[in-house]
Amino acid sequence: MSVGYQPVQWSRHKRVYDAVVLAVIVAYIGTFVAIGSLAWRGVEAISFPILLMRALGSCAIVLLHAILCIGPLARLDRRFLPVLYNRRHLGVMTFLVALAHATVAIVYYHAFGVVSPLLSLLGINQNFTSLHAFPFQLLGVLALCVMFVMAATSHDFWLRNLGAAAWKRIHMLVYPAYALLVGHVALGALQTDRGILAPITLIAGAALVTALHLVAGSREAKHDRPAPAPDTATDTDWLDVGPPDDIPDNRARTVCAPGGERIAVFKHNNSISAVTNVCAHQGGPLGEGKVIDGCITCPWHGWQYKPTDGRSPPPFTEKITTYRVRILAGRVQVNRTALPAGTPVEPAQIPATTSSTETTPLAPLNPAHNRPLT
Amino acid sequence: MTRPLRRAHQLAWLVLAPLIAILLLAALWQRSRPPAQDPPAALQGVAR
Repeated sequence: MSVGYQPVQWSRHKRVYDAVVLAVIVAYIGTFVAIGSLAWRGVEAISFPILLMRALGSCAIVLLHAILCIGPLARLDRRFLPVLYNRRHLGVMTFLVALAHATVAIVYYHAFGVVSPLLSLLGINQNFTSLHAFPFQLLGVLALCVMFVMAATSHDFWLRNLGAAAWKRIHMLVYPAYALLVGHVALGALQTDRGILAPITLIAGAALVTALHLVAGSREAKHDRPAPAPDTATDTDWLDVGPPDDIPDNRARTVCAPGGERIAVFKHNNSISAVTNVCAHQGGPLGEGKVIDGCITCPWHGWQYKPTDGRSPPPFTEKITTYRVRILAGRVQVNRTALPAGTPVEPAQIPATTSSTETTPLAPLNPAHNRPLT
Repeated sequence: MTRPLRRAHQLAWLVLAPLIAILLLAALWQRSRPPAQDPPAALQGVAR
């Protein structure tokens, strides 16, 4: 979080994660080379550099499929959230494997002639109108450039200096990079390898990634429908959340303000607090997290905020916007006006019987901060 | 994520999904065709 600067924030958990991923990559490449040298024999024998190039290339694209599946899977099912925690490490490793694939390919096919390897790679084949002889290498190079930008900025230093929204936009370039890589494989390896396994695997992978993103996107669009105004409200500034019993202990229910962001309404210690649903780190969905040690904990990377003022516990200094809440006629209501980040708000105490019509109005503790964001 | 980013994600996949499908279909169609046999250079010269 906000304390100190470290080039790489290693922890035991991350070291173990990286070691396991590295072992899987090495095992995959070793297995591919071993099986490949047994399968392609005699006149069909393949030299070791080409086997290695294929192993590295297929490993990179399998890893990229895994990375692209993690996001929507975590949106659709909480059980996948732990996999999301170190996704950036997986992304950097994928780039390194792809870079190794490109290096072997350039050295083997383009480095021994009189023409410069880069010119040989990018300049000689200009059959852009032919599917059969399309310069598929160009698609791979473009994707690798995008992956380089993402790998180079996969660090909290860049996240902090670019801001979460700009950083996330840059990292959304992985989607066009994925399309470029599908083209690279479809117009390259699939045209030369006549086996059935490669096309089936690629089509299944692309179908899975695409379907998961479309389903998760459709579900998100449904959640973005604005919450209704409560029947009892005399003004339209309050949104209905529902009975307090509908919110699980130490969990949240999210509501959407018309034209605004989602608001996460948490139940903790028999009281209700509301904060923005957007984590200050990477924009993670706070409403899908839970209250741990008295702090709202982001499900993506574990950043924490106190529910009563949206501030991270000391020594951290991050803060998020808060919202006023009240319980009226047995229903939780949240004010749609966002308070400045870090504004303390008294939690709404849940009455013994929530069917009471008594109002529990909750003004910010510091009235000086009680002004809408502009 | 903020609402604009969520929309950008949704839009990106609405565009990419058909694009990837067309790309794969085109590649499979090309793959199913018999390999092209360019006439030897000498024959090309004769044809001209």
